[in-house]
Amino acid sequence: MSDSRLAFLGAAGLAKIKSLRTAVVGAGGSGSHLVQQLAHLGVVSVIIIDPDWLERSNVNRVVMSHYGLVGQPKAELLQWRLRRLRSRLEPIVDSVESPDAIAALQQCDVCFGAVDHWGTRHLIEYFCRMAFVPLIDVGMQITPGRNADEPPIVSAGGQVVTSLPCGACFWCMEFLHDDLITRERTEYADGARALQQQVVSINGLLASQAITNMLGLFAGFAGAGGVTRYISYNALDQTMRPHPNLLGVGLDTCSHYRAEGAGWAVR
Amino acid sequence: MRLNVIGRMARHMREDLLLSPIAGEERLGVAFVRYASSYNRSVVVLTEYRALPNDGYVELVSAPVSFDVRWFMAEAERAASVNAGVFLVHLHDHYGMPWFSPIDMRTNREVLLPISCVDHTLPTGALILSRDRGAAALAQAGRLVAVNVAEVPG
Repeated sequence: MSDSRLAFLGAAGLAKIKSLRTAVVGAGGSGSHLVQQLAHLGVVSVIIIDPDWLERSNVNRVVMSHYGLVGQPKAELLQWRLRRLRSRLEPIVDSVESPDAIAALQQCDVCFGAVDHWGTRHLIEYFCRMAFVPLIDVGMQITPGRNADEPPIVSAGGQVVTSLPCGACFWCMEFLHDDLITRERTEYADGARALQQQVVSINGLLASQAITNMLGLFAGFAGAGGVTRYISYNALDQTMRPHPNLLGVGLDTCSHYRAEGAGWAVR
Repeated sequence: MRLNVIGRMARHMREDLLLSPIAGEERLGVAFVRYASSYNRSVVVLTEYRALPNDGYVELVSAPVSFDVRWFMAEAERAASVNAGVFLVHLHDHYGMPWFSPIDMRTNREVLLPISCVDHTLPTGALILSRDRGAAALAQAGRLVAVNVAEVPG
């Protein structure tokens, strides 16, 4: 164990980080960075949930992949590539809605969401809230110009959003809202859903921030203000700052998921 | 088995249970708990905490418990009405991992195990806290199973 890690996290913090059981939902551009960093940190276990297989078009952003692995399940290829590190890597090649995936992520100390779809984000948060599992979501968006009058890239960036049990949720922070989910559903129904543009550098930057948030939560170096729950990254002006939606949001309460409503209340 | 308790709920329980004792007895409370999901019977979550009222403590040397069991039964019924089970909660005033005393285990066997038979779909058990850690036991199939307590950020 290197001294530099001990100095940063402290002995107690490092022990806590090493004891963490983690889950990463999505083993694509952001998820592969998350899994890699968790394994290098030496957390006790990483559950990798992704139903998809690696395609040629993914290789430019799924770290540790290469063309020889095209056709392999993404979750399994990450496990294979990181097998010599100490963390126990457990791939689940299935949807996050599958019973195995739900059961696995609910046994974790922290879950990372690295998915493209707003509806899936909603489901992951719901499953996490049911079991009081902190969730850190990573996402990026690039909006290209639609015509010659617009710049080639209108916006580029992303966000890291931390949802703590009984604290402000994705809905409280207006990270999720009905319009997003309805629009996504309509686009799918119409076949008009555009492929999300991704770039490995921004994925890596946002994933690193998400892992740093985890260290702040569990190793306690985040300071008195705690972890910033909604961090926004703008790649065009190279800034990362608290999202303006945080203004006026009560971070310690949630009207959508109350503690009394957690767990399996339906029999 | 694992019991997830939100950090702020754990702090609230400790503050309450560390109040001065009643009739020389450790303070008690009841926690409502549920299984995390229908897919997951290995994780339970603590959703509410209620302190035993001051008049709920009894002084009977030969009794296996130091509290009025009718109060506990009423709380168990209230919990069942919202599809939750109950854990009896108390605190041992020290740091480090707490453990159930022989008297605690007698209470667990003689009170909690029978209650758990009423509805086995609802988790029933006991939670013991120290000033910084916790341990729990879940009544399951007529025996007590050790449960790891995780205090989660929040």
